[in-house]
Amino acid sequence: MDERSLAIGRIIFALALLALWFDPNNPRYLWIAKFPESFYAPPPGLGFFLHRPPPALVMWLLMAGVFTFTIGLLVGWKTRVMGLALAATMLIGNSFEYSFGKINHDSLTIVVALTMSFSGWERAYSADARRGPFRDEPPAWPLALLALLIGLAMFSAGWPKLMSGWLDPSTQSAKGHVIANLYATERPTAGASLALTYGPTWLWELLDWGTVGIELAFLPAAFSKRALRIVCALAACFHAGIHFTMDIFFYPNLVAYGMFVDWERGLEVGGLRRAMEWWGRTAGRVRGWMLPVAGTLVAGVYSISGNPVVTVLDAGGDGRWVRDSVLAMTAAAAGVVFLVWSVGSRLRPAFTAAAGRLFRMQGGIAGGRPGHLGHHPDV
Amino acid sequence: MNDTEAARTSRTERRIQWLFAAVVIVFPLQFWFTKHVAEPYPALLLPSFEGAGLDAAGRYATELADVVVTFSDGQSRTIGLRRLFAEAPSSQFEAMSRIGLHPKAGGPPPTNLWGRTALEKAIPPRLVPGFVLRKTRLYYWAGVDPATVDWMRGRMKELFPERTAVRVDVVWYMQVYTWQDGRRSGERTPVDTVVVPL
Repeated sequence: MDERSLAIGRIIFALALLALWFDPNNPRYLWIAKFPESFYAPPPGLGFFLHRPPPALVMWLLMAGVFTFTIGLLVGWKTRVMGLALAATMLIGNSFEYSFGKINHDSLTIVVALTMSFSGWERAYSADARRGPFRDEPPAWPLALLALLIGLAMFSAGWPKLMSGWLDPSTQSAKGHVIANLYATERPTAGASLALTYGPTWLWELLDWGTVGIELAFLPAAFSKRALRIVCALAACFHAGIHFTMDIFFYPNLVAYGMFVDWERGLEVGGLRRAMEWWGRTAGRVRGWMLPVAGTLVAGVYSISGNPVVTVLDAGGDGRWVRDSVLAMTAAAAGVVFLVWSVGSRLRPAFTAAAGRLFRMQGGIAGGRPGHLGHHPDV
Repeated sequence: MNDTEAARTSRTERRIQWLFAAVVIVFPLQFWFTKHVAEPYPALLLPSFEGAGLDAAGRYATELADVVVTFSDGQSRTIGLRRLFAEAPSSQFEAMSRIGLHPKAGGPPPTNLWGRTALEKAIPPRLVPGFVLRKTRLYYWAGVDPATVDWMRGRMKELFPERTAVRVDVVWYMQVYTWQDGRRSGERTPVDTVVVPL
């Protein structure tokens, strides 16, 4: 994988965390201070060793730590340390946040930070890159490990579905879960209402089969870069569908898929290339002391006035919904473009060969040179 | 490449192979633990959305609750759990309401839950207090915790600042939805009511 692609993946990962990690309505880690310890029932893990969640100040410091290390990743300052520290901080913070009965399955964020810290994603557009050249090639195993972990994680979602009746044509499981989400979890969406009102049974059954198929396809696809990219592209569309029907935007998966994208192709666009070069120069001027200052400031702004991305988008309605919808549609559109391009590139050789044969045949009929349809080559 | 570098490369390659092997071995163990004991955190898992959801007759059944607030003037008002737990993420409030406001089949925790001797009883709360709390709060029920009552009192003041709430009834019911031919119908059966005097 090109070092610049890995670096752009790192920047997208950090920006995604800054824009999406902090829930505008219920600030990450901070909301638990509003509830008494009588709701504390931790799952097996770190929470087992405490009899109550940590005080609000500790949770705020963990949140500030997440922001500090994310900014460290963004600028690529001691990137490996930042990535590992981010993973550790999120792991601790999440352990307490998920001690109130429900685990949110966003562990791929931690998995990306852990694995990609060894991938060489600091080798371009970063403070580390400005410090000096890297002698050896970036290792390939972190991406392979990430592919395997995504495959296993998706398998953990697909296998229980396969074994619990999702493929039974007499029941529509996706429909049941959309109804549950609409009424029990109280997340109403126009997409769910439309789908429930007009969606025929065969479409719901197709969704059941498609969901199981995509989730189980990740594991075998992990052994082929091309296959994995195709499955990731399909999954981007799948996640957009979930967002618009169930109001669940699974960005941790999308940023994990983003690590396998050849982002350096975008650098052919002059404006983007110049922007990335500017970012590399700017990151090179960052000093270590700036990170905790920036992290604390960002944490302060987020905890006082909410997620600024959402605050800005609130002008156009529900800012969180607008943000998630735009990103879900962008990811799905990118997935569709990749699929079309992929199919096109697969068909192109066959098409070229067929066209060549046709040209030769027509050239023979016209009596000209094969492949030129009888025209002069200079015309 | 000299001998030292070659040896280092070989060591690194072996460690990476061990890492991949560990992932492949640990994953099924974690999967088994989640299925048969409890879901740990952290774990490499994504939401399973297990179960058929909708039965062959097109029905979906789920247990829900209404929160009925009675005020000092005798009037009452009904709100949903989502509103009561608005300060928690939408992904959390159902689980939280079951921990703090839902009766459990186990009844009050037995006195010999952790053993018979004083030593046996003392070890789990000191060693893994979170495990003790999880077990007692998820599987046993001795009424609403006083801390939850205090929280409820404060929450009522936030939700209804102009009025004085004197009692909250959390009315659990089984809701069955039927969605056929683009139309929804439903029926509800009361299950239990938890009274929280304020």
